[in-house]
Amino acid sequence: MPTMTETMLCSTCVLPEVKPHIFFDAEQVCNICREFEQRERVPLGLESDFIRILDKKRGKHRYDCLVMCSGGKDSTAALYFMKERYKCNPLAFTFDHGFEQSDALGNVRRAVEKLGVDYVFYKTNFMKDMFKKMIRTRSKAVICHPCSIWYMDLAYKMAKRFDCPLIVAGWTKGQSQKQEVMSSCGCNVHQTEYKSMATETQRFLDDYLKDMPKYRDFPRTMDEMLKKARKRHKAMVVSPHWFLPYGPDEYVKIIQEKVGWQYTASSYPRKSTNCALNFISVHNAMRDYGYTHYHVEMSKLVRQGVMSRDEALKNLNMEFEDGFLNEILGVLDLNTEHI
Amino acid sequence: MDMKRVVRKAMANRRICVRCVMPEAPPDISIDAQGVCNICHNFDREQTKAPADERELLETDLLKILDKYRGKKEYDCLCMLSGGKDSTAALYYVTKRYKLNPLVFTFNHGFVPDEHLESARKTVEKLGVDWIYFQTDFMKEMFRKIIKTRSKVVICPVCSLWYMLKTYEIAAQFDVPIIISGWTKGQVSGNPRSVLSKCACDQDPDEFRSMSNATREFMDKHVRTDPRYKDFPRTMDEVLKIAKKKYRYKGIVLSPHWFVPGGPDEYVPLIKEKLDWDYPQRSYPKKTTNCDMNFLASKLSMENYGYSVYHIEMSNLIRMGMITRTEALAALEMDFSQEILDNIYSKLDMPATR
Repeated sequence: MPTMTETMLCSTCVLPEVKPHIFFDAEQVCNICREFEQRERVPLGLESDFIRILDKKRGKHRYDCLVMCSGGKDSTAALYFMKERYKCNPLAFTFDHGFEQSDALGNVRRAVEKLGVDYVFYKTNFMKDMFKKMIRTRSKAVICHPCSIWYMDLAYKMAKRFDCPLIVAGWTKGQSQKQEVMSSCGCNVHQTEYKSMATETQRFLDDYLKDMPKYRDFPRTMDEMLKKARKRHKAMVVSPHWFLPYGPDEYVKIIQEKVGWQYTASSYPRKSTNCALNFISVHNAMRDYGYTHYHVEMSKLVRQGVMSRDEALKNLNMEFEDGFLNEILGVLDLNTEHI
Repeated sequence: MDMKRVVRKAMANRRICVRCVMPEAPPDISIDAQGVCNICHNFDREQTKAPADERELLETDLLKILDKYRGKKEYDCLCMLSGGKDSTAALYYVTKRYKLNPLVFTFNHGFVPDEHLESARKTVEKLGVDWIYFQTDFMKEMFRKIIKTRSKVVICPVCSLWYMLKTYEIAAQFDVPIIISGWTKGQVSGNPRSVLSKCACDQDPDEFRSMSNATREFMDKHVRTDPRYKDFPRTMDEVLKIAKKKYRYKGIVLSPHWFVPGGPDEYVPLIKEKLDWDYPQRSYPKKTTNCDMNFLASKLSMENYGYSVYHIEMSNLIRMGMITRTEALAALEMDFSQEILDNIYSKLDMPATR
């Protein structure tokens, strides 16, 4: 995989210089870090705020919340906290677009069984043609981006179907900041680090989807999706991690002990639990931009002091074997020649 | 207690019908001087009553129904899949033979063995169809009640009320216009045409009478009084009413097996070849894919009635000439281990000894 040596990265976070949006000053510190220094600190959400939100919704619907569970540490901890710490009646929800890994799904199965919560798993081939198109056309759109639009739309649909007034995600403080996410959900694609990627996604969706009838109604942006979804069903999207005083070091121990959670065998970045297609997504992002959305996320965590720069670098620097990538691409009848 | 003793005790002083596998069980099942049961006689009477063309459902009838629903919605049909031969074949037919775009639905009340789920997963993967899997502990307290109260209610009919309601709910939630099950001709008592509108077994005939009474009694005494189950349907008719009124579901339930000529002898080799399907290690009766709770349900039913719902189903299949009596007797033999039952009790947090 194309990688950046450490010396080519910002000296305080893990982003490379990619003009025109990311550039370094004389001390090799990027503009994002400089902005962060100057920006007023957004106060962290308080747990009591979160409990107030939950209490407003509690006991009024079939389920108190829909918890999106990938089987990773963050979402498994979110499910655990919703049930055990906040005493909610959650519906655990996992989607699989065909690339979820079986050990991650095993984590979810064990957790729902231990916690005795209802669980719905939805597997669909709907996205495969789009993935294939993105790869074949060598689009610079980052695969994860349209996928996140799709799965958030799906989460809203499931919340409506199963009568859940809240959607709980396992997003960490690095993936999103409370205020912006409560309104826009997921990553804020308008931030500088995502600008080029977001433009390419837009271009891909505009150029290709109109020729594919099955994606006729596919939203062009997260904002468009949210607008439509909220018209159909009012649900708020929250993550307990924005409010909890715990970091991953603490909650990983908790879920290992309480619900038999395990690290998955292979995922990018290290110690994460992302789907198999994510390897292709980051491979192509490195090819096209020299960094991935995980560099953005971890840079944020580094700035916030939640993760050390060394640890971020260790987690982000991974080599993928061709055989491994071929196996993943094989699901779409593609191979490494297509990337 | 070893299962052979359970059976011996349950069958003491009971004759078994020489044509089917129903035991003598007054007041519902009686056996005449020739050794033939009243259910077989009922069957013969029905045969002579109905003209052939009204009795048989044809594949062209099925096609007519399916064509009405094809291509109108995101999914054409909701296919119930347990991972067993009948539902796997039903899904295979619907996808490959009738070219519908199904949403597959599998539910788990906590007692479906991983092996069955794995089979379902594999089938879904091979066919490249979409799948919804739902798991809940909702029924556990109900199962505990049945065991604790020593009610004679048979677990499976109660459970079928729950899962049929759930299936209707999922079909409504995903806006799927028709529900496809894998029910065999043997699971249908009476005329399949009437089942088309009523769904699942007709529970009125003689062989179900005592069981149905026990269900009603149990529902009134122990279920309606429990706030957790206050909305639980008491009969299949109530399930249908809720589906129509509350979920506004207009579709019907049908099984391709009612229409397609040929039985398991034809479709088992087919799904083995096309889907790499195989019989699960663990299920009662043999060569089925029923959940673990079914072991206990069948054992209790044996003790209470001298037969289980599978005796009824297989007797039907014998009368229709779809399996032999010898095959049925072999499949129904209860030789599973006490360990399986212990495992169920432990999942229910109940002491194992009964």
